[in-house]
Amino acid sequence: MISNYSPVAAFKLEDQKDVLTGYAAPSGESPCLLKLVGGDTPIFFARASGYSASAAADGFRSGWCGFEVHGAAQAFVVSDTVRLVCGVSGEVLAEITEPPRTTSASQPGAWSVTDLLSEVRRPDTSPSMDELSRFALNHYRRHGARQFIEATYETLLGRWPDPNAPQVNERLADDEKKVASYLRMIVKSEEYQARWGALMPGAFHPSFRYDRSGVI
Amino acid sequence: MSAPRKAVFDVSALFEETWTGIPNVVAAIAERALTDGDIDWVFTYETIPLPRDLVRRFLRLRSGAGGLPALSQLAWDRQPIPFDEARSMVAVFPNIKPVRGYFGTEAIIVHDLSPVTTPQFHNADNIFHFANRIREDVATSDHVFCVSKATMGDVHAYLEKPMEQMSVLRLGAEFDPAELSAGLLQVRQGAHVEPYVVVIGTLEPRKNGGLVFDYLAQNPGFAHQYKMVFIGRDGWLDEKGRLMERLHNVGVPAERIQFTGFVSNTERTALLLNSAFCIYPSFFEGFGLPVLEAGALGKITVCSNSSSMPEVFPEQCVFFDPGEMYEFVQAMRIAELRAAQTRSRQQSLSDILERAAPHGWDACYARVAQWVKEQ
Amino acid sequence: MRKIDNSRLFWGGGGEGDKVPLRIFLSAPAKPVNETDRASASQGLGRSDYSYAFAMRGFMAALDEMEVDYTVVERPEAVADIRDRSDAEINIHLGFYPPELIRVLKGAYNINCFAWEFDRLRSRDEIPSDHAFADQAEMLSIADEIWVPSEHGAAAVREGVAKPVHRTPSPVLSNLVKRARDHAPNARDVDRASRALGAVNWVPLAILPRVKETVEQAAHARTRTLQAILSELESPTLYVSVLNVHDYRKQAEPMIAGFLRFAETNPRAVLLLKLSTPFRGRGLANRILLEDQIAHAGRMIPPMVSERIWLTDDVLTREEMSHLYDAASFYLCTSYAEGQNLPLIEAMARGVVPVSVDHTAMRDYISDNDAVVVPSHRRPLDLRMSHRYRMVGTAMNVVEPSDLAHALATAQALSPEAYAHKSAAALAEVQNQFGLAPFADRLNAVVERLAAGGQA
Repeated sequence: MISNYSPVAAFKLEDQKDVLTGYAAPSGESPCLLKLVGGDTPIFFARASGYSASAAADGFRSGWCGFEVHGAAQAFVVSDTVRLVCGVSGEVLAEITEPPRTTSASQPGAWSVTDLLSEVRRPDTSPSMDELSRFALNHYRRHGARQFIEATYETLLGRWPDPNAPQVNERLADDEKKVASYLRMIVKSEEYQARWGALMPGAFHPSFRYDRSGVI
Repeated sequence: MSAPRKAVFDVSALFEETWTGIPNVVAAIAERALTDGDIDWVFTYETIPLPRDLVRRFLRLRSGAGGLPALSQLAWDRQPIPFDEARSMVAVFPNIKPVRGYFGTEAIIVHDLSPVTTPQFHNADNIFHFANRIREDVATSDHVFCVSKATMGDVHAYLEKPMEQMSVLRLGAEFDPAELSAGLLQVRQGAHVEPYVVVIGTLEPRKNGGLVFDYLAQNPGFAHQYKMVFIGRDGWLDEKGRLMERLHNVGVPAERIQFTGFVSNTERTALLLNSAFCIYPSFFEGFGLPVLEAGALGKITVCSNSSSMPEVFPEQCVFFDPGEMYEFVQAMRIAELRAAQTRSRQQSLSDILERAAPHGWDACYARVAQWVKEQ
Repeated sequence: MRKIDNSRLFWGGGGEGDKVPLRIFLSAPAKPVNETDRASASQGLGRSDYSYAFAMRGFMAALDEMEVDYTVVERPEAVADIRDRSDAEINIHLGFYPPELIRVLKGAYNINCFAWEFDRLRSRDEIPSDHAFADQAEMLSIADEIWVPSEHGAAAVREGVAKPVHRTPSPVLSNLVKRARDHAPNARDVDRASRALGAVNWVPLAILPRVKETVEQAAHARTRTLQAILSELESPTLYVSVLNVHDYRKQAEPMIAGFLRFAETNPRAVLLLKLSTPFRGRGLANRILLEDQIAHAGRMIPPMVSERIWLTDDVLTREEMSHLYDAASFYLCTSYAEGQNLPLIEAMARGVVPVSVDHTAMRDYISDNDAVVVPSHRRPLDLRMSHRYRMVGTAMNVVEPSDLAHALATAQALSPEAYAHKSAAALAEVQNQFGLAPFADRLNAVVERLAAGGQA
């Protein structure tokens, strides 16, 4: 499994409140793996494959190397030495010196099963249609309309397009509009809503089938 | 020092876009074969050798997307392994044999004989494709790896393959530590999920999901305590409306039953981790991977005692006959008590990693490699 | 904390340490296997009319009589090894399956009960499909032992299979008359029996292929109960036969043609045909009889319309069947071949005298002593039979209408003593051959051998 990750090349820790957030850009193609340890005990692993606005601003992977690491408080129960390390190379990326204060932002009461699923799903989603469109457009330009439709169905609906799947609207002026309009149509469909609700898959979601080369 | 044994592993299953059962088994073996210096593995699409980079790419993406165009090109550039060369090679076929008696020594992996022993759970196409080839595939194999003792018993009883030519190849379960962490709610301060139990495995008639509905109708109190979560969609369920109404009439509101729809591996792992316990009422299995996964994560499973399931993770299971409601009720009761006892004892990430470690794929690969080296 | 025992794998059975000497398990296919099973047909699997569920019930009744505990297993394939769950030293599984559907109970001593009517099993060249279970001989060999209801069938199977094959018919233990008949049913007997059949409707034979619909509707309009039919006749002699009308082996055409010929000079003879078909209750009896038993691409069918032959496709209860037999003087059988022929045996168990062929399964229990034998002639399977049973060259036994007519005349002319003799002999055959003893002997032999060998 470790072979699916690349070592960390660039790292930034942004927030240390409840949850450690930031970005970790890899040297290779695969995302980074971050490990939170208390002494020698692993407390939490996170894939740095979520969207981070600051990573995008700093020019890394179009923003797709953000991370969220939980469990800092627990780590301090285990040891005074709490560190964030690269899960591939072992390099220490940050020393966490203070346990986080509990904020009132933590969800009170019991989570529903739906809440659990949403929360687990969230880091692998796109914050908005714009980020998704970038990949969709890139795929359309590199591989043409037919492959764009196939990748869109796979990514958004988890299946192969049926024979009478709608075609891209060739009458629209430019590629951007063609792609955006097609995506909007799929996202509004009942099938999509049942599968994703208000969320959209991110660049490293297991269903993601757009070509990432050139964007990331 | 002799040259490493040359062996072929047919990875055609990896060309599928979405990987389920068999492609995952092939991937796990291929991953380890790539780094095994003792065997000179040749990865093939049937008999066409593939560049290792292509296999690595599939493993990285966990998908065969884009593989077919590459294959079409290869089919011209690279010839299938010639017969003369094949005679000196050992070949392992993880599902279907595209050739028989072509390689010097051939082995096949058999998951179950369900399409011929329980055809009522399969559609005609499935049955046709399996039933028409399995006898000859097994007969022409020098060795048959069966994923359970139960399957081995079936291959011996129905296809009369001698036991000496077979062995059990236990499947594995592995968890990406990041996926595990994502679902480990107790690491987050103050976070806990409503009490629920999860019915694991895909949803189809063979999986006997209807039993759970019958149980709730007879024991509505359970649903007040625990939400019943089915992983997957409800399309399989005959007369869903009638069943839900029946439950409503005994005081079980619709929201106490949840169908998650499609979920990713991470989401599935999270659902298992945070459940009170799991339920697996299947009528028939060749192995029962969901039970292994649940057990490796430290969960108790109320598990059918049919076919191979008692072999998978018995120490974490409470068994029952899938056709007997009385036994299911007893098993549910035991599981509930067990869950209540262990509720305060939350597992840490290291606990889980430690428990799951022996159940990975290393032993499975080692068994295959050992057999190859013995030929 | 209280230790919770979740170690119980299998809930049934005795406690640890108590081992019982023997357990018997029985299983049969979930649905009855018959010729009209489209699912089987589409898989090119064999067809069979031997009712496996019925046969299993016969053995269950025998085990009840012997006070041997048994369990019916719904899904034997779901058991990885019965020894893990059974508390018995010896586990025996009686399976009732045609070869293509065979299931074994792994870890038990498997006996498969299977009926076969031809002189041999299908050869390798006649295997109907590539399905893993399509070769009969191969599939029968996976059992430890095979029980076939007739000596003829056992001999045919023995040729193709290396495992032990024994003739062990399904016992017929219930619905036997207490005393044999000392005379053919008289008017009073017939009347009494027919009163109990008030719920059964009969239509007259109406086969006129060129105007099928018209004549069938007319027949339908003449639907009557047995009482009504009999009220128009003086001291009728009732002949009866029971058949699955889709079963080609029944060779019903010469039965009908022969009877009609006989009836020309015997005004008091009436033939009652109880037909079983999944298409019952739709007024299709005549049509199905025509299409499945009589129609032949090679020739024209003559008109066969008569109020001397009556058909029903109603389902009769066991009790009603007994009354039907009690009203009948004779039971007719003109089959090409049979595996056991339970309806004939059940009729004999009520004292009905057979007018029957004496080949294949019937060779075991039909002779001049207890029946009026109908001659038959060995010929190779014709086109229809070859196609249906996917065998070429093996024999079937053809009956000419004149053969049957002649036999019927003989039957009609039997003296009261001769009739009584045959009726008593028929009953005795049933009691001897299909009673408890043959089965008990065979089962005990198996158990003794297993106990001595210590295996199973």
